Amino acid sequence: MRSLLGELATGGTNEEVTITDMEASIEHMSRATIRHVEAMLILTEPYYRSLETVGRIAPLVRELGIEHIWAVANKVRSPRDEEILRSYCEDRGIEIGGIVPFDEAIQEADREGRALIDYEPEAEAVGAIERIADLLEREVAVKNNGSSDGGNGEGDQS
Amino acid sequence: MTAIDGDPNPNLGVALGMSQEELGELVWVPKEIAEIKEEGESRSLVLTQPAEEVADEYGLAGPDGVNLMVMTGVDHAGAG
Repeated sequence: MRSLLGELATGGTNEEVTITDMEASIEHMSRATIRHVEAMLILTEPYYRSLETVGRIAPLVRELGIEHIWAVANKVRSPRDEEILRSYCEDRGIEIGGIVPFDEAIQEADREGRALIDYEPEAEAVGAIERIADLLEREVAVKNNGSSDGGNGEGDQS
Repeated sequence: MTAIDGDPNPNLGVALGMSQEELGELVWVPKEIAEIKEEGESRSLVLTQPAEEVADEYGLAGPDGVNLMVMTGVDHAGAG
């Protein structure tokens, strides 16, 4: 799939942005196949097992030459969670792109089969995710030939 | 804007505001859209039809105009 991203992002559809939700693995990635990817968000939860995935993936993605790499933490419940996350990422030189709090509204929206932003637009998690979108808009230059933001999905709340 | 769901458990459509009915009718991008091309030592996946056609045929537009394609499993095109 990843080798098709470039073509889909540039294949005459005049798309400005392509966002991809991927499984938490970069086994099939190579320099050639990620050349259209400008940014990658690596999703994690503030538990050691999940953080280890970020610790493993971030250096590999960096090695492939992706310009912007951010860890995004999900289901953060407490200042202690945040501290664990910040300390882990700081030790490894990984930038944090956003911290999404644990939010009951996400489970409720999921039970209703609705998007969180439609179910509860004022939810705390929506604000956190909007700040991540702002970060991407601000930091990631959209190239003329299209752009891809790869989300590497570990710890999806839905 | 295009959104590609490559997760083994694809649920990006719900987050984009699509209904269960719409998502139930959404046809996943079949692995036949890609084939393995061998050039000497290197093997790569290439599209068998133009990307635009793939997007038109398998894409579903959400309420905000984001075009969703589910590509779970396309990774394994040509495998086995």
